[in-house]
Parts: sequence; C-alpha cells; structure tokens
Amino acid sequence: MTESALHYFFMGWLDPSLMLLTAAGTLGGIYIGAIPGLSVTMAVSILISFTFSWEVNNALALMVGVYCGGVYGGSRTAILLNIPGAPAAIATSFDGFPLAERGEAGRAIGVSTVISVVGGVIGVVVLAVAAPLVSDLSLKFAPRDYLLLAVMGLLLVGSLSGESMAKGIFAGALGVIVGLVGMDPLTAEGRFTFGTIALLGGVHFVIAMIGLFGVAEALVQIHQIDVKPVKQDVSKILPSWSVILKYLPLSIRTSLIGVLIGALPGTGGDIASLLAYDHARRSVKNPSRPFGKGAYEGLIAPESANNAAIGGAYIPMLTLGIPGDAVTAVIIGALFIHGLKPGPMLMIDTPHLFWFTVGNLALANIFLLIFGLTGIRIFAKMVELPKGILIPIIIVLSVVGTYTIQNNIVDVYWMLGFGIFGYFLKLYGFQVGPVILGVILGPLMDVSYRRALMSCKNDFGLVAQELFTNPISLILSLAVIWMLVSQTPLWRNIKRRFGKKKAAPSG
Amino acid sequence: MKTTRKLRPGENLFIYFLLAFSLFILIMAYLISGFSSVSSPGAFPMAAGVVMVISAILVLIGHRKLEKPDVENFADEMKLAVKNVFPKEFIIYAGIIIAYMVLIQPLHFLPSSFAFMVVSMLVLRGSGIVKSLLISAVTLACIYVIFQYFFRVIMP
Repeated sequence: MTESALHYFFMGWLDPSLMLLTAAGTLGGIYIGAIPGLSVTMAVSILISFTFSWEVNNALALMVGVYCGGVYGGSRTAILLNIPGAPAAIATSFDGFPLAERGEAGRAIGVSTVISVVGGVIGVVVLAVAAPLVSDLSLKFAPRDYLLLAVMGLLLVGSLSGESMAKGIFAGALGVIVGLVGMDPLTAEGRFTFGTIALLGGVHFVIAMIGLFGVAEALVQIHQIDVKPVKQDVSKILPSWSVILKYLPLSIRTSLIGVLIGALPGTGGDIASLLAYDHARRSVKNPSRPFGKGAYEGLIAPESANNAAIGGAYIPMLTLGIPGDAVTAVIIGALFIHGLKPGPMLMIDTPHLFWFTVGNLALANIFLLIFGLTGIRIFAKMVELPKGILIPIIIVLSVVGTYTIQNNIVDVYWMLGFGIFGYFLKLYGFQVGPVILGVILGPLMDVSYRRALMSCKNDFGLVAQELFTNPISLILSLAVIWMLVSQTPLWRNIKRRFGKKKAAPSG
Repeated sequence: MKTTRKLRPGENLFIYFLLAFSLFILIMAYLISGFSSVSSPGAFPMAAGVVMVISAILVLIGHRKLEKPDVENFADEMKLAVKNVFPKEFIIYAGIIIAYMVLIQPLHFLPSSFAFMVVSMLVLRGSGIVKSLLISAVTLACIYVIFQYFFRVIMP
C-alpha cells in the first residue's frame, strides 16, 4: 500500500508532461494572482472548459499549479501597490506595502515567497498525514463555531483601526452592512436593495476591495504627486537562513491556523490570512517594527497561512467531497466532468487521486519557490515609477479587474464610488482595512449567528449554554473572551492593581 | 500611546454626515423585518446599524477633547476643508477619472483607456508626450493580450 502511495505521489514528478503542466500552472498562477480582478477561482473555472478533453491527471496538475501560484501571487501587488491581487492577500498589504514604502519591496517579496512555500509545504504535510483526522474535526464545527471564528476575525478591527478605536469599529460595521447588501441567503429576501433588482446580487467584495484599496490609495497619492518615489533596495532579496529560522515558529503556528481554516467548508485563504495576522499581532511581543508600519511578522503570518490553507482546503474535498473553499468547489466540478465521483467514496474508488494530488501540491510548491524568487528585481523596480505614471496604470487595472468579475459596467461605478468614499475615509483618519474585514466576515457572521439561533429555536440561553458545553465551542469561546479581555484596558488594570478594579469587558 | 492632534478641518462635519448615514442604515435595517424575531433577516443588519450609530457618536465625543482647527468661524473652516480635501489636482483628476468611466462604454475600452492614460500622465506630470504615448500603448497591449486572449474576458 505504502509503495503504491509513493508511486502515486511521484507520478507528477516523474512524468515530464505532468511536471511541465504543474510548472506552467504555477508560473501562470503567480501572474493571475498578482493582477487584481483575475481570481484563482475564475482561472480554474476557465481551465475546466479548456481542459475538458484532456486526461484527468493533466488537467488536475495544471489546476493545482494555478491554485498554488495564484494564492501566492496576490501578495505581489499587495506589497508593491497596496492593491491585494487576491482576497487572500488583503492581510499581506497591511505590512507589505509599508515595507515597499521603506524601499524594502524586494526583500519583502523574497521573504513572502520563502514563507509561502513553508506554509504550502506544511499544508501538504498535514493533508498527507492527518487528512481524515482534520476532516472529522472540521465537520464538527457547528454554526455557532463559525460565528465565534468570525468574531475572532472581526476583533482584528481593534488592531487595524489606526488613530481611534471608535473609527475602526465604525468602519468595520459599515463593511458588515456593505457585505449584507443583496439577497439574504436564508430567506431569499432582499436587504438594502431599495427595491431594485440590480442590488439583489449584492456587492461583490472584490469590487469593494479594489475600490477601497486601489482607487482610494491612488486618489490619496495625488496629494503627494510630486514626492519622489522611494528608491527600492534590491541588493538583498534572498532572505538568509537565520531570518527564516527566526520566523519559523511563527510561520508554523500561522500555517496550522491556515490549514484548519482552509479545511473548514466555506472559509478559505482570505479569512485564514486575516486570523493569522491577528494571531501574529497578539503573540509577537517584539516585532521587527510596529505592526502596520512594515513588520516582517505581519507579512509572514498571512502569507504562510494562505498557502497552508490550500492543503487544508483539499482535505475535506478529497476525503468527503466537500469543498474547503471556492477553488476546491470548482475542482470538484472538474472531477465530475472527468467522470470521477467526489464524495466519501473517492479515496476508495480512486485511491491514486489522493497521493497524486499531494505529490502535485508538493511539486507546485517547489516551482513556487523557483518562479517566486526570479524576476523580483523587475517587480520591485515597478514601484520606482513616478506616481504620474503609476496612478493611471492602477486605475485602468482597477477598471478592468472590476469589469471582469461580472462583465457589468455598473460594478465599475460601484468600484469608483468605493474609491471616492474610501478617499474621504482615509483623509479623515479612518482605515479601510476594517471595512473590507467587515465585508468578508459580515455575511459569515450573519448566517452562522442565525443558524445557531434557529437550531436552538431562537433561544439565546441555549446557544450560550452550547458555547460552553461543546468542546470545540468552549475552546473558541475562551479564545474570544481572552482576546476581548486582553484588548481592553481591563487586563492592564488587573495586571497593575491585582484585582483592585473590576469592570465588565466590553467590545 | 495617544498623541494629541488637532481636529482636521471639516472632520466633525464628516462624522455628522456619517452619523446621519448610519441612522438611515438603521432605519433601512429596521424596515427589513422589524423586531419580528432574533434570527430574522433584519436582526443582524440592525445590530450593525446600532454599532455604526454608537461608534459615530463615540468618535464625536472623542473629538471634543481635541483642539479645534485654527479657524475663526464655520465658514472659514469649510474653506480650509475644501482646500485640504479637494486640492486642485484632485478635482481635475477626479474629473478625468469620472469622464473616463462615463466614456468607457460609448468609446469602448481601448480608445477610452488609451486617451485616459495619456491625458492623465500629462496632467499628473508623470512624463512627456512621447513617453506617455509609448507607456500607455505598451500597458494596454499587455492588458489586452492577457485578458482578451488568455482569459477571453469581454472588455467593456
């Protein structure tokens, strides 16, 4: 059995055509991921029609490559232009862009590449070693646990809010509202649609992301149009071993977060990287620089987590036929088209598929390292373009990227609206990070909150009771409470005065 | 941790605007399903609306501690705010962007984007006329090839 597993594992490594396809997919994926608006999900969907007549192994090898490359590629534009190329790279921009502003874009990309591979490999290892275990665990997550996860993510608002916590909370709640526009998934009622059909589909969060990050940033930059761009230091791109070793414990922790979040059905690299960033902010006592100002820890956490989430997303897909995220959902479709039956029987009917995918993912990570570390110099130099050239390019890219999502010009106007609104928010000391956090986590919170309540016949008491009796919920609840307490002045007071003062923790 | 800063001109007005907007959102959220049930479609939006209203009020309260901007009266403050928020370059450039987005459909993607890039590079003093023509052409060619041929995405 193990011999055949090994054989299947190396199938992709030994067959030149499979290897070439994985390499091509990874390389293509990096650039697809880097361009805002071209998402991995979209690329893989297009590949399905493209590879319809191919052999299934070839098609899967290409898709695995695109998937790995694409998730990593989003970090490129996040670091260089502050426009996350993919939702999974949103958290990367928090510290990645400040690094580019300091002239360390090359180094930042180098570190993020190596760490992405570390995360990716950890994801693959967990997939290979503990797939059945993790998939069992992930299925035990009830709606209330998703609610707790979303709350955890939303607590990140506290660290992203900039000059005032109240402004951060406002921005987060605003994002939640934006995320809820459209048809309610549980009752199919319209919310905030003002009776129009146009809004029933909701506001795609990538549109909000491109507007708030890309266009708003471009508009703010106009204020300093004559400021010379920062010279990028590209002499030291490859991070040294000591740097990698120094950040290894953190990247292992955040990778494990990534794998678990990736394995949960419905949550993928975007939420994983946000939670990982939050974890880094809380657990790293002395970051290389303050978070948000170019801390390497703030770059490493999301980058390791989002690539680890790939391996995680494959876990429920291969063991149970349940997609871990949007991309694996599309890949399940591809398997169906090729005559395979994804589901609990997949590993019994087609045992080679599991080890073949694991092997391919490992191979894709090797290519990621190779392709990721080449061409950084040219990329980094891009930031040195004068703003007068860079800004128009950013805007055209934002327009194209927005338009491709649903081929709808109205989306472009929305994107511009977000851009201008984001411009005002930024000028008056609001951060746009919490808005996007709300847009992503709001719908998850809404649905899981209501499901949790409905499963208890709308009885708050019963939900609260379950939060502390179910083992998974208990762990998550305690984590949320700890985060809340440690974020409020209460904890500092307790530490200082040993229980002299007692107050209720507040959000 | 807290640095005392001056209030930006027009900042309070902006927050009042956000507060009004939050109240509007709250009313809209209430209209979804009222107080029918704790798990109704409107319950969570209402909660978010309440959070928006409360946090906007908290921001305003926080602002009372800050120093006022150096202005004599409200009209002065508005003048300064307009100058800070809408500098000349911004007005011109925002106008160009809006014109671009309006024209993108009647003129089609390539001509409108080309015109937009060239004009904005000149307005933003990014480069000279030849260079901006060249950069625009190359960038658009790349975008066009990637999106149209590899991804078969329909352009606006």
